[in-house]
Amino acid sequence: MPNAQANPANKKALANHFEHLLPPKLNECTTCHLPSTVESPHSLDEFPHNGFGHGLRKLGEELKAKKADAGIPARLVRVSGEDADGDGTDNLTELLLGSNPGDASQKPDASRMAHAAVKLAAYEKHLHRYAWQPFQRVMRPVVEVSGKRKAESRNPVDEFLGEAMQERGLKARPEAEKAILLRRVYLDLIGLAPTPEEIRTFLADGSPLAYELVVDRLLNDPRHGERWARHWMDVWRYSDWAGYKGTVRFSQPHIWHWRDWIVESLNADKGYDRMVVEMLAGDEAAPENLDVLRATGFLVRNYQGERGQWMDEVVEHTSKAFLGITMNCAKCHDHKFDPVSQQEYFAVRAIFEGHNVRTEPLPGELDTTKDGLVRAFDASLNPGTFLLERGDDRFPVKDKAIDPGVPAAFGGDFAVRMVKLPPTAAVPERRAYVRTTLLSDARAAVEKARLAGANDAERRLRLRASEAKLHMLETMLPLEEMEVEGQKKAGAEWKSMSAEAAKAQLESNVLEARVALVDAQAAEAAATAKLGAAKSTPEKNQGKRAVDAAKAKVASVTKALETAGKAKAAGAPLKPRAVKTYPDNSSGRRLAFANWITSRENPLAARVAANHVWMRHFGRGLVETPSDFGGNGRKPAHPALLDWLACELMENGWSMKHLHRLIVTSAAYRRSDTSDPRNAELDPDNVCYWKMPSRRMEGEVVRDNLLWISGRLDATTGGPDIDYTLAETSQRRSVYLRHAQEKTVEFIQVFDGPALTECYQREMSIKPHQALALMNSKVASDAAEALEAKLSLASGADYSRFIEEAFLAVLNRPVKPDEVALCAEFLNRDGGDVAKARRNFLGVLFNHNDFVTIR
Amino acid sequence: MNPSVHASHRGGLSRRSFLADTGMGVTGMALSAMLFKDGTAHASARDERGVAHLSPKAKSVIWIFLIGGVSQMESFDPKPMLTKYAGKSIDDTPFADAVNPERINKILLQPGKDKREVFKQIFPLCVPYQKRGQCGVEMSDWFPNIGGVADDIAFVRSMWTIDNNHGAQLTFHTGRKITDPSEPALGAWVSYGLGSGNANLPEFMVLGEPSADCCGRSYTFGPAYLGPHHAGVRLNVDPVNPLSYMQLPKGVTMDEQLANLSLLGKLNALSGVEYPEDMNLRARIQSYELAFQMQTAVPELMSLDREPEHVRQLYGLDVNECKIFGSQLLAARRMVERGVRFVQIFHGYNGGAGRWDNHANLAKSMPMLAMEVDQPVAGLIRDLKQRGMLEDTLVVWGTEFGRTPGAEFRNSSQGTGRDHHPHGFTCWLAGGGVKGGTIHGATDELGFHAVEKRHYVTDLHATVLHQLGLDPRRLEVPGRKRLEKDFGEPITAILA
Repeated sequence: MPNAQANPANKKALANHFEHLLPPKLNECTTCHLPSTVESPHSLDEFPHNGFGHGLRKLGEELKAKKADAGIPARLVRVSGEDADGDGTDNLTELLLGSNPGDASQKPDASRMAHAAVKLAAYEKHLHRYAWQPFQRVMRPVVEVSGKRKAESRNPVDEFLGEAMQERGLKARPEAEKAILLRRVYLDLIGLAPTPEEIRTFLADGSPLAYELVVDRLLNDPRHGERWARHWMDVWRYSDWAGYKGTVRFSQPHIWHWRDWIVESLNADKGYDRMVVEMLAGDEAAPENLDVLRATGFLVRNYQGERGQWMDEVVEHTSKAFLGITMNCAKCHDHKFDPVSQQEYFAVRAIFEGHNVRTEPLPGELDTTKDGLVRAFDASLNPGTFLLERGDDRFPVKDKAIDPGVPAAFGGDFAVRMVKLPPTAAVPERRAYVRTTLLSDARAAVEKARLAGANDAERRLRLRASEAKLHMLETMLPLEEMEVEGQKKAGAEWKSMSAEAAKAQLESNVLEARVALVDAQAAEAAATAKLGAAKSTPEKNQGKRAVDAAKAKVASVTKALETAGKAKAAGAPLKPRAVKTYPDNSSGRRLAFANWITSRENPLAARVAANHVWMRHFGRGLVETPSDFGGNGRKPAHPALLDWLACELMENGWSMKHLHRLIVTSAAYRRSDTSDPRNAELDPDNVCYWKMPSRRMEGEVVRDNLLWISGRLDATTGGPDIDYTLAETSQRRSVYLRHAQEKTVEFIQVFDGPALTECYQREMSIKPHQALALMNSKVASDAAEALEAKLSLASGADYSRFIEEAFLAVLNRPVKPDEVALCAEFLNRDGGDVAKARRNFLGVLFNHNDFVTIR
Repeated sequence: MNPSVHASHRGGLSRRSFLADTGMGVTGMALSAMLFKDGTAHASARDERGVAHLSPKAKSVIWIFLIGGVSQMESFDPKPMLTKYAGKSIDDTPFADAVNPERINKILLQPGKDKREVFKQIFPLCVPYQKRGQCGVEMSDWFPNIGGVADDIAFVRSMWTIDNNHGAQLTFHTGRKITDPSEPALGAWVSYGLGSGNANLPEFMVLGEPSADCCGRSYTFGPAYLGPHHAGVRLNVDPVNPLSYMQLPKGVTMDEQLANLSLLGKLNALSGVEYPEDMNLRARIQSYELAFQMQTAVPELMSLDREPEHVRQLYGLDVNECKIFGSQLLAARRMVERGVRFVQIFHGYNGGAGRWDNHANLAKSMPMLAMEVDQPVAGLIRDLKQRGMLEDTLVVWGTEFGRTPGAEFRNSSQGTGRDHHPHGFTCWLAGGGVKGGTIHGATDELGFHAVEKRHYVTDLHATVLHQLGLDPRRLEVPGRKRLEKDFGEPITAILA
């Protein structure tokens, strides 16, 4: 008699739910089923359930009817306290101790029962692993708020932290001095220090909402997008392309359009959920919107010559960035710490299997080597994804293709729907702007030829050729437009237009070939002359090869001219413009994935995003491993606070600005960073945020402020990446400097600049290299020089005023009397060059700990 | 560090005494000793340099770390039984108990949770071995030069660790698992305990490309709560550009810079009154002091071309394979010579788990790695010895774990390499008061479990600290509870 069988999915779900806590002998069909009663069973129905299985099944039907979560984990939790086989021991205890809960003949004996408490505790802990818990409505803790405490609690952030502080007997530090707070919030929100005027205004403003107004203004400042773009570029692994000569690696040319999309999206406060959708599937969500298509640079960035590695990186970094899960660990084997099986890893890979990258022309520039929209698209609609045995590319399990899917343990719906693409999405060169650009380019060519004059036959020929080309385009492009717009190719009008276009095309082709011939002949003459002048043997050999090549070119162009001439004589019909064609459908897999990530049921996306934001305001995440919320990461310091922030994010249209506002207007954020001996003893790591942690500026912020404070920052936004070797002379913000493999800015890297492979969190070291960079770099000495000129102009010979202004400008706070004395002594040293002394003095301030420190 | 010293000085700094104390240091910058609550305690440890707790045997440490996990059997702990039983399952040998799951899980931090497969099919030794030196230690033929200095080395063949993945690189330096809150690395403790032996150079320096993001990255030389000043300082071994931004800006003289830094020191010191506990401020003040000195000290330090040819050859600088690592070791010797306390050198960076992670093609890949390090390491020991520096310089050879007796069948390995193995592996020490020619501890016949005189990685730390004259239990930081296992016990049997 055959043994009982079970639905493999249910068996797997049972194993997934209990993981290592399920004794191996219970990972069997007989855990829920009895042996079949018929001779040769054909379906699962012929294997009746035992009491335990029956209970699970019945509960499943009930839950489904109520539209409640009927997943195996939810059902197991509900039946755990029941005793299905009536042997006096509940289901859960039996399962954990290795007795079949549906078989009364199996029951843990006393010696095994002795382990019950330990096992139950382990199970309880296992169930409550933070990262997998779905969101609950988070209740704000009740902390008494009255009188003085009011300043300590300005919004719910403070209530969560207040509760933690109360428990540990900590006393919150008072609010920071106004100037320090202003500088903090400027640097955090826009990455640039407040100007002396802004500081004076704020210090003089006694109104209760002065700070909140500053926050609103900064959040609406376009420089906010530049500041936070750099943060998210860390998380999303922005990289310009690398490689030598023809090879392109790690990214693609023109990827900077994606960077501009990040800056603009943050400034527009686009919802984070929408940003995720656009980055992973902008081509499916808005196939004709060029602005949105830029977002798929997130995928483009993973480009690698080797497809397997490319796929590895997409899966790894998509899951780390958006889910805080190290899915990459499940490529070779089931994940050892988190509920991701190897099968599920490849299901996620299948989502991306068909995608590829391409570069399309943009309005105004049709040469994609100069500029272009580099974007993702599905090149293949149903490519096979196969599990690689032990992760080895050489051993795909070819008998079964793996469908796209997501790890079941995270819940939510993953529903793939094919996306039908509009015609111009499949054939981008047929977009209206391409025709407009073709025409304007042709007109410009005619203009240029006219300016060159028509004094000789060659110039006349070039002018005629350019005019003929323009005429051809003017006659044929309207036809193309009609076709794109779906108008019928019939009627007398169409026919006569078509005939005229054909004629123009033949004429243009002949003239173009003639121009090519003139060029080829000139090249041949030049090569021959060069050969004549060659002296050494290698030069001569090279010269001969060049002449041969030039002659061959003349021959082929001559032939092309003949062909064009014959075609013209024969009156050949109009040939449509050659265009690249791509699939007109997209699999919809990536869109489904993006929607799954940002669905409310997904416990991770909002938490991970909120944690990143928090980390960049406080220097440390609530979960200290921002790319690993799983079993190998650190546990959250204040899980309820993080969940509350995550819910706030989701419930407010995923608005990042809302989250920023919440955080920076909290009392926690406004606290002084000064210490307190008692607190330091009770909570040396400041886990409860009883003081504001001081942080060091990132390298980009150091450089930007050297430029900004000395009045030299070029405020231009967007555009192509600036060569990294120009970092010392360029005055653009650092976010626009090239950042790629072997093309990084030294000054920024010295201050722990972002690593190329991944940078979910910056390091914050303090080392002599940084001191040298601020003491000796050109960026720093140029800043001192420019600022000296600016301040001396304003303060004249009055050195005490100079000192005051210098402190306000560089350290953004009023100078203290002790400091005035020291500085005055320095500036008044006998003899010497006043301007030079002042430059040296400003150089000292740029090296002051309070400059690189955000207090 | 005596906790009571801390306590008596807490909060006792008045503004007046602070101001009176400025004006120290080469550049006139007040150093931390006078500013911070634990400064006095530090100063005392520093003033009696090396005699803080115990009488020191070593002044400096050169800590060589091979990234990825060096096979113990193909290096310093050869096992003929592997060849004898090659191809057989461990279950079918007299040593079947080695793979008893209870024994395997016992040391791992998350017993039962770890599902790493145990490869049982025995992989034969990939290289012949022979006795080396007077002591007759058996060593693989891939390390002939180290074999030539075997009588200066104490081999500890019974190391074990707690993580069977590369987080063990961090464990090797801090004693803790990678998921734990960060703890100071050994070099940071040394810096904290002893201070500098040369005011012109950092006391803790790092050469080579460190562990990658996966495996501890800068935490393998990180200070954790000891404060950023005690982090290892990285330097390029590049004579053209050992340090960026070393040239003074145009038009600024050395004297001017000194005057600038003097003002800077005073201004930063004023902040010290307001932020007496700010470890970052203190680290920044010290970084300026160092930076100024390093401008001249580093180019001198890194002029390896000033070394005579025979010394350069000793380190293999004329051999392509050895050039990079040899230069780093030569630089390390020059650092130690100039009073640097702890030089940590990484070999085998590859952006991931490390090049010594020989899962596949071990017979081909490991000898190439051995070639890169064998001559330079032996050269270092010979060079230190000929200069009389070996007596007080402790050289340590370490790696995060060993490799499995079984052949690995996973990924591209297909039985051509060995998997990670935390249960038994070899480290060695030379100089600095260590008894040369010692073989200490042992693994079982397969090289599976450390069975005699077992040592967790913190025993190695304790040994290093002990030789430097430091008692790890007295390096307490108030408010920081360390675990019993963090302290380790010195391996006294290998000490002279």
